[in-house]
Amino acid sequence: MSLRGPALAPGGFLNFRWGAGDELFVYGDEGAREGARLDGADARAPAGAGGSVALRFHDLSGARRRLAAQLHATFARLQAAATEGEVQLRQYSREYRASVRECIDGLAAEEAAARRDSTARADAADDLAAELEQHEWAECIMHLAEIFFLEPGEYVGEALVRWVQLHVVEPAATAPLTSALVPEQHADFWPTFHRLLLHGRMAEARELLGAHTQLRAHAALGAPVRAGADGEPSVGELLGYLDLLIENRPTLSSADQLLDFRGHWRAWLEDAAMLGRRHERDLPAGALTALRILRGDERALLEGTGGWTSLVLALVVHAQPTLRRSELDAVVNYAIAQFPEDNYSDNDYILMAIMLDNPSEALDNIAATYGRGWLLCHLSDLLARAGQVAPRPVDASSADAADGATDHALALRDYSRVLSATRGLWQLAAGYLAPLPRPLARACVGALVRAEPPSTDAKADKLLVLCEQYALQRDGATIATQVMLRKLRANMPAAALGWFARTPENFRQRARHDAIARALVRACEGGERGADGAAAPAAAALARLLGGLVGGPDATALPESGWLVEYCALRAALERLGALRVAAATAAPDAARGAADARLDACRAEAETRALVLRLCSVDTDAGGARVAADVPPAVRTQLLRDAHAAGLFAVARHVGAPATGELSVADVYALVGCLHSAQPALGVAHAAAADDAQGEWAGMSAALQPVALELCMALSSVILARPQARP
Amino acid sequence: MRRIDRVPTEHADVIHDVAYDFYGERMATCSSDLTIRVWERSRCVASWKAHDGSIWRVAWAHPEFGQVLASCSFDRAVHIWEEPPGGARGGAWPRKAVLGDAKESVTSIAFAPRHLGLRLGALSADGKLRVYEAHDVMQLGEWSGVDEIDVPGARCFAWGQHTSGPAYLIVGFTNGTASVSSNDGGRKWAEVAKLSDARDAIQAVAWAPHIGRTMQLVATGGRDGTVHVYTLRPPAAGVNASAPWEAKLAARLLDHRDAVWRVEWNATGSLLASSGDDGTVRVWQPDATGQWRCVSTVKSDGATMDFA
Repeated sequence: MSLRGPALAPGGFLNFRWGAGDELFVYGDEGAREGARLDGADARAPAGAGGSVALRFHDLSGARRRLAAQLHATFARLQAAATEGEVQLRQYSREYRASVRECIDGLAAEEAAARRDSTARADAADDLAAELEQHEWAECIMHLAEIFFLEPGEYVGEALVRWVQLHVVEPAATAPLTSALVPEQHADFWPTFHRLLLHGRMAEARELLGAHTQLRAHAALGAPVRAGADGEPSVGELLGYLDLLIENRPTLSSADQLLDFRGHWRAWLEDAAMLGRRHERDLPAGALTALRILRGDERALLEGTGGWTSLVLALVVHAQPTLRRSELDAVVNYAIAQFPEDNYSDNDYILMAIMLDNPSEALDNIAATYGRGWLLCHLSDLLARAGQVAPRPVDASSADAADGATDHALALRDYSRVLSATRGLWQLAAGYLAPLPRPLARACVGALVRAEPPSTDAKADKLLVLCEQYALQRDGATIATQVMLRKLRANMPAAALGWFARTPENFRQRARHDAIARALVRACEGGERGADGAAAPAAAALARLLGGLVGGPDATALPESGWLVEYCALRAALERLGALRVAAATAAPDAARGAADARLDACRAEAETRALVLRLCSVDTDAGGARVAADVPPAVRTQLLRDAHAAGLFAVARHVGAPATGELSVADVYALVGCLHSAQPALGVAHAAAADDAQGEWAGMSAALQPVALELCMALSSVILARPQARP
Repeated sequence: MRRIDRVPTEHADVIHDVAYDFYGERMATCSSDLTIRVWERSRCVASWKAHDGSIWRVAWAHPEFGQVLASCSFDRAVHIWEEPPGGARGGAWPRKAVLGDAKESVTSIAFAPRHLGLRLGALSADGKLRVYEAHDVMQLGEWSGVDEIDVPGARCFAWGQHTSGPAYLIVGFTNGTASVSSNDGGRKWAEVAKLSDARDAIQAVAWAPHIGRTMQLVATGGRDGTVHVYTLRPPAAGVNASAPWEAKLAARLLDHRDAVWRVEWNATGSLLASSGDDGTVRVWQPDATGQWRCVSTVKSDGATMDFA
């Protein structure tokens, strides 16, 4: 391939960089060859340097992209069926081939369009033609492998005929011959007839023979074709008998028919021999050659065939129709010996390996000829499932050596790489990694998800599902963080918080992500404004934010934020508590109890606030501590300090700055609420223990408040039990 | 191989480096015309004067840290740039930091693997490899130096492409050796392997992405015109990170026949590309038998580019 034009600077020094998807960016860079320049010497350079091209090693577009999708669908069905029991591999092979055939048709249409398009690149049509040919050969190879390794029958003759009919294009079309005024006078009439016989294309051969003028004349008389054609029959009648012979030629398709077939075959050969013997002088020379071919005369077969594959077919069809698959190697070796090795193509070597029953060598040859693409991947998978090839461990010294890697696994992996190099096919690529040994699959899927931009929420979700399947927590965290940052930049703090909640805990606690937590808080402040336009307090904003999440679509879309539903339940419990408190107060108005209730009321709201802030700033940094401290109302600083110490949030404690009093009060009950609520069970237990010790305080509650507190604790217990264990 | 695009790079002087972003969606170019340009396919979306000297290298940070670029120059500085909210609309990216510790030209930069945080290595002609880190990814103006490694005679370096664990570096030297070092979090780097098959200065090194292999792959390109590919096998799990590695020469690729200036692995580590003074870009791959072969060559006579 060649690119002309002002692509490069004079001098032609080239440089490059790899991009995603095996894209190679090549650019002219004349000056860079001066090594001194990189060492900081004078940066002299020619003006006007520049211009570049991007090259891609794997480019699946158009029909090839459809092929990839269809092959994957079949592959996925095969994987699923294989886990359930025995599968009809031949059926899947046929599905693969049907997809390839559709791709071939598509490529042919693309090639035709490229040739019509005057604006297309000059060699575009040629490239497509080359690809078309490659795909035709690939289908041919896959079909032959299906016949030899996946089909159950012992006799391959009929299957080979089908193979030839599908893949060997007859060079001389019969239509011009049959439509000629006197077809037999055409120089190609008899050679074409012989070729059709050699390829086992009997129906087409009969059709061509039927165009012979003398046979047509005989048929027009309505005279019957006499068996054996005794006496002095006309040429037309003899050709009619030849036609009858071809029509009645016995075929063998299964072992059950073998005895019958042998009898019929002997009788049929006798008839053919008799026709030749009795009417050698009457028959046209072409008809006599045809009789020799039909009787399996090796010389006639050899003279009529132009290559070793045709000779194998002719020998199997005409000379040794009862040859078993396991006996074919002698015929193949004989045929190979008849043709000089210089003429063999890479495809010939692949076909030879298949016919000589050497599937491993066939796969090696396919890898060498067609690369490690779809053909190798799917064929090796089929052959491995059929037990025709045993997966071979990869040499430990190889650059590809990996834990548990076999040649089969690497074929899947390499095709997956081809797919992943094409934009939008990463999900197909992941599908081919599933059967790999777990460590290799995990490494490859990790590379795959790292290379894919989480450009939409839906895509990010899919990537996260993959991360979950393969335990790729760190990669999952990276994806969630990227989406979260994007949401923040788009001023969507609620969505950002949802994605933040999907990042694993170990990731969230890392100091550098404290900044992200603070950015979330800042975004909440900025995004939530009161009626007067002033920024609402962060705590209130966060409360509203969480409320919105619970009721919004994010709550169901993001499984990791399911805990927010529990939060909602807690809020409901608190509201019920408030209602009970009011009822109790109404039943027995009491000054002391009224004061306690007021305190309780204040603490309730403050504990909620504190818990929310603590959860979002659960990192021990000065900045985080300052943030928390700034949000805390002075009334609950003491309690917050105790919480912070108990939770190890020393920076928070430092910034709150109030001494711990050791006082335990009704507020402690709500501190317990806060701790449990903010998903800190250890701290909650500590508070519970403290509350137990302070029976006096508990007992000091009004009689009306005690059942309220009990109710609250029971509600909290249910929340805690339902909380995902991963959340601290 | 298929040509998919032609990009008019529009620089007024020599282009010294091109860098794709992590996902291959955007590209940055830098030049002796003192500017950096950012491209989305063939469209320039940002362009600005970035340094006071030729800009040797440009590098993208992992997108986890935002749209961040670093550049290094003959003016002895490393600059950090961040895309403004809403995009630059053809204009400049704001400069977030200037890392000006080098006493001479800064010739190479590379961001560390993302699991190490937002870290940047910068090699300068004064024989120092400095490692900087931004502890707060939201405050890109605040970078601190976390390492200053003496590497006299160093020409190039690359980070180990691990996804977890200690930091690794490979540094190529003018004496024809390359040194592989590890750092387990402290300030001391320990040499774990030495590669010394080149007969002249090593001018390029590349560490292959590690995707499920039991060993690491590195490549070096030298002034002797040779590309060397090595397999590095780390010691068994649990052994000290500074324990020596087993290094084996996997391939000696001689096709360039003239000084090699760049070697680089593709994203999956399956293809190695190299360019040299012979005016070619060559792409290498091991065949089924493990033999490394040139699978593609791009060459130019100044007016025509040929792909084979």
